[in-house]
Amino acid sequence: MAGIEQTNTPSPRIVVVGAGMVAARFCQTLRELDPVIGITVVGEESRAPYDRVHLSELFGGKSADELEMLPRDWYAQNDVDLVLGDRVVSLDPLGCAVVTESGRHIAGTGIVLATGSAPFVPPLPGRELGGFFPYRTVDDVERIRDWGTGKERGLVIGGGLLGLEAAKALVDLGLSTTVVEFASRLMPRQLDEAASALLKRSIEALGVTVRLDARSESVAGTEVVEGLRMADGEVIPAGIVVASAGIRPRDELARASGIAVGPRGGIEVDDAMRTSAAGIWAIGECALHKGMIHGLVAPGNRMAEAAAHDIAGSSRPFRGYTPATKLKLLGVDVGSIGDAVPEGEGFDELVVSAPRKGIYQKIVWRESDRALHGAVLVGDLAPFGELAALLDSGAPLPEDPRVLLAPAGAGVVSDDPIICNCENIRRSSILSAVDAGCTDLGAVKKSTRACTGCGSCAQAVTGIVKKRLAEKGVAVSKGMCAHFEHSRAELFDLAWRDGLRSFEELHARHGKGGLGCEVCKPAVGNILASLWNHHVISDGRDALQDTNDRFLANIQKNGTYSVVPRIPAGEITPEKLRVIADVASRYDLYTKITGGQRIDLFGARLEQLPAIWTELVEAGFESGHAYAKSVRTVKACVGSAWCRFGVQDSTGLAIAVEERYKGIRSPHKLKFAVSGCARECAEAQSKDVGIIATEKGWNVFVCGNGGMKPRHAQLLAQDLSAHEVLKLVDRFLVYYIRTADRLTRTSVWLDDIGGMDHLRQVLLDDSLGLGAQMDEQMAGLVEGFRCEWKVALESPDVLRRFRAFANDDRPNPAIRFRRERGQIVPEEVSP
Amino acid sequence: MSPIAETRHAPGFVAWESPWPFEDALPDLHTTGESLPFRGQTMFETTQNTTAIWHNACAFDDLSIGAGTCVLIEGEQVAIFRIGQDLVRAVQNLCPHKGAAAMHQGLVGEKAGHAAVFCPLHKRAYSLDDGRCLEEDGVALRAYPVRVVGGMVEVEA
Repeated sequence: MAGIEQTNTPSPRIVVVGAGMVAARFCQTLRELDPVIGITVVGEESRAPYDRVHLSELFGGKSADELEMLPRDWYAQNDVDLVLGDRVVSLDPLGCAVVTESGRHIAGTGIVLATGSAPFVPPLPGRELGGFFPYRTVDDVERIRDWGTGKERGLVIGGGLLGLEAAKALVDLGLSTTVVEFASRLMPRQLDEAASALLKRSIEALGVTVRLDARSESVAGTEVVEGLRMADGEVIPAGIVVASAGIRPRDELARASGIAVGPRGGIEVDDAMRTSAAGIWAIGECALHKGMIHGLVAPGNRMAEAAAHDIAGSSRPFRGYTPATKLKLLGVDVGSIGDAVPEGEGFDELVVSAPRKGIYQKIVWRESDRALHGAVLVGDLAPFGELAALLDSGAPLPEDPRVLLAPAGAGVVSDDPIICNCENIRRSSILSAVDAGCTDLGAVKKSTRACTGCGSCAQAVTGIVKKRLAEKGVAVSKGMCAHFEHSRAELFDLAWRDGLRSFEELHARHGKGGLGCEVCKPAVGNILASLWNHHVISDGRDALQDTNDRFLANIQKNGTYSVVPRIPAGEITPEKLRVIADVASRYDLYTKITGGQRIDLFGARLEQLPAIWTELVEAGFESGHAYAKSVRTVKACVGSAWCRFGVQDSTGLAIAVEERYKGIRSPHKLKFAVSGCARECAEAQSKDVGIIATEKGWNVFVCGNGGMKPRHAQLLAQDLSAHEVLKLVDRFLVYYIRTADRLTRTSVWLDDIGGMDHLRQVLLDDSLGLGAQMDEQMAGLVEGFRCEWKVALESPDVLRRFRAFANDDRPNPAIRFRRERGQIVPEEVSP
Repeated sequence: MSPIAETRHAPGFVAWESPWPFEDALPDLHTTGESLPFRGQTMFETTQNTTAIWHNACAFDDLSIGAGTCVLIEGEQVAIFRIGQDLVRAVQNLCPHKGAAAMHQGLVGEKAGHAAVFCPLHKRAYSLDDGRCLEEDGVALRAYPVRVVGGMVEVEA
């Protein structure tokens, strides 16, 4: 090269190989540290970096876009070049450049390898058959969803963390799922026998079959998979087989370029994430640090930060990571910290086990220095933060280690525990953020990054914020509006205690003057209805109700109403179906089947509602309360009466449940479902109350919902009789009605009251001693039921309101319809 | 602020200050905004309606306490509200947003110191004193002068 004068030194540019979560964190950190350095990211998937941890949520209806780590325009705004859908095939360590499959040659001044890992696919004969998939990427998930939809049985090879995630995905698809694990326990790297047994039981209650010590031999089938052949010759039938048997670091590029790799794989790095080649760093799951591969996001993020700091000329070395994972596996909380299943001598342990409550906790410490070595928590993760902090600090355990596992609040070990494990944020950082002006979760997230990873600490962070604000004397008003300083729950108790039966009474005693508003009037109307069960639109109460409740129908965009008669559990005779058809024809109503197994009749004019309901009531229909904050439907599969797979009479129970709770007003709408077997065709796990048949009875799930922010329901109790189900749901509803804030669905309420443990204590152990009172209250509400439309039709005073005009009998001329697909629809108006 | 005194109040009823006189229509209340021809009706007017006369709307007893009732005046839909026991207000019935014949079915309450009706479609609040939308500038319902004479409600239109 002599003679050639280099006139320009190339401007600094870092080429990142791999576009996963850790790569995204690297870009973010490097950009914060150095606003000008060039960054090019090359990824083989066609997507910008996305959140792989929450991959299984795609089965729950989340879109792939929602999983993206950074907003779409972040890369352009921050001058980061994204090259997607192109794989790097070779490295040129000397020229500091990469070559891609499509022939691109990208040169830089440094290379960061963030190639991640690949699922280990066991070398089983038959793995080339259609219907055999690894579980790792969005594409995998989409292929699994496409193939698995409509199949009856699914099988997952691997009972580790990812395997159980994959099993959840199959369960969400409605498949009867089997998990096959080679070891003698689930999550063998994290759990001991007892914890595994508890987890196994909880998972099996969801209908998942777990096989341990199971050695697979080959994939059965000719063109497509038909099952998995085991070593003993048995074939477990399955229409889809997902392999999730661990990961292997993707170090092939480094290996081919002569960069040092470990004997069992992984690119060797130092504390600054430098590899053996100058100008090349490796981060995330492909990196081997002090003999360890870290397969979690949190350490990956620390590595990304270490490399970014090193490149930017500062220093933030990676000093290893104590594995501490907290996750929800198929609805079961599992926490694992350090090594809770150590090999060798010199360890002591403490175990708390309450199998009936689904709780198992174990801590393991070294006898020599009494330092924590590991812990495993199943069912109750309350001690997680403190244990993780304790392990981190290496401090000796307290005299009596039992305080570590005492219920929340009983023993405080670290005065500054880690709250957000993904981002390594301690309580003190959150407190500082509050002191600097943050007043809610959103602001704290922005300021500290806490709760931006898995999100499991949201409740903890919110609690800390509220407490700090209260300490600082910042008024956190619980009042619902300008007219009441009380929360809904407080007003409920006041009205109950003092026997207040009208808005005026409640307002005079506890209000702040004024007329009331769109917030407090319906809220009080709702409280009065929950308490005293009077007709909601008689005796002046109509003025409290929102429009829908006031006219006992659902207002539509052109001012007309829809009518929903109750069809308990969706079961209806042809004769009653004919009545609905006749009414719809007579009044020319648009007819549509709802998602809740009923029939919605649209386009009824205000003045037609009484006539329509006269016919419906005469035929034996009752109000469906589609307009009310109360139980909407109890959706049911057909159950054991007809279904080949049904084990219980789900329709029968659903009718009993719907008849029992119909019309009872609650803080928000309630949706129930009953499934006749573990296939869960009624989708009960997305409901406020979901009841699923087992061979021995019924499992009750609570606090799920669909909608904008879907939430999975959680298991409350198992193998109950139908009678026990009603008794439990009675208490659940009364407790919700008494304590929830207005317009709060049960899932959010559950977070507010402190989660499932609290709920179990109140409902199952009667920890508040309210059981008998709650039973009595529900009995009164059930007893007092009267169909609101039937009562309305008997009252001339009420019917008077159902008129288009007080001074004219003609229908409202502003309401016009056109026809579409044979039915009416509102005529579009362009104001 | 004399007009309030002319209305009947139930014992214990808390009145708020209102700029609206029952008997004497404020001449300039109808002079803001643009004319929006709307299915044969006018959303609100640019010029003072000089030909307005008082029309019989309905009996006072036809009104529900704390709620709305719709009447048809010369082909125009007017929503009349009885606020508390004895205050009466009237605004156009069609919602300016979707054109739905809906305002009289909305909840009545108080917003930012005004008696207000909350549109049943999207809960937007409109002042019952002058029809102004309390959440969006430049949007308003036409407000009608209204009075109670001998048990009958009269609207000026």
